[in-house]
Amino acid sequence: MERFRDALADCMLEDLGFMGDVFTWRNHHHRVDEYVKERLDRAVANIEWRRIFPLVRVVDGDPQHSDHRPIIVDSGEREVPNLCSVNVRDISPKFEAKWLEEEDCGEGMGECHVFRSCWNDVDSKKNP
Amino acid sequence: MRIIAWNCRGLGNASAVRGLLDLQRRESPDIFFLSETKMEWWRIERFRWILSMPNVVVKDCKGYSGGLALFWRKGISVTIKSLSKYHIDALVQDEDGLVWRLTGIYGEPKAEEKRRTWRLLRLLSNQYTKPWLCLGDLMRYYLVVKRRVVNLGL
Repeated sequence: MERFRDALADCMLEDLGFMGDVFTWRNHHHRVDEYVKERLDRAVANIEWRRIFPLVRVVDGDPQHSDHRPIIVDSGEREVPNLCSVNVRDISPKFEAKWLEEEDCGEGMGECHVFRSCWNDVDSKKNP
Repeated sequence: MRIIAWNCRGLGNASAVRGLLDLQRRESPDIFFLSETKMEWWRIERFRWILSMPNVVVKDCKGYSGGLALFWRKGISVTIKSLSKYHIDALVQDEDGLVWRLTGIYGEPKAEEKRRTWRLLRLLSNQYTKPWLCLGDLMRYYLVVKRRVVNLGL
């Protein structure tokens, strides 16, 4: 938990809280002594986002067939933005394909498929 | 705006599709982030019709595990900034022109590997700064309830 809090603090992110069941995941184990439930799923945001959406509500939905509950974020009415007051540092996001590999977080920017709103426009592409 | 993140544990059977439709009907999300779809793009693509959300970006599953999809409705502009099997990072622009950052996370399922998820968060955080909403399977909660059978000797 401590490390998780550190990571959130480093990223300037804060938990948005929730309404509903505190636990979002269950293992549905049939043996009572092996039955575990936890809160794995959540929504976090930085101060700039929370300023724009001060009325945000997070609700845990019905898990349906899954062992995870969906996290439903209702941003609420937007604060009429004085966007100038939001300190946005916009650094051109150059994605370095190897950063994920270096950090062992996955296979990097691999193949993905994008389909956009024109129903016939299938734009399946390979990212470098 | 309404955004849903859900680890749906596979979409390949009728009950899963019913569950997804039920969620869509009840909550009418503008953006839908699904993890553990256990599907490849050509099977996910048809969900655009099912969900009435014509835009999607898909990260294929590997074998029978993983798989991500980010759906969004017409009228919202979404630009994908990066993705991996653990995340989709995007800039969202609504009808009013406001731009903010949305990251859907699919965390490491194993508790001992959760630190990778946090490292990923830090890396994403260092890339650029915008109003940022991040959601998904982020971490284990400090409350772990384990029911135990108590032998009362009755």
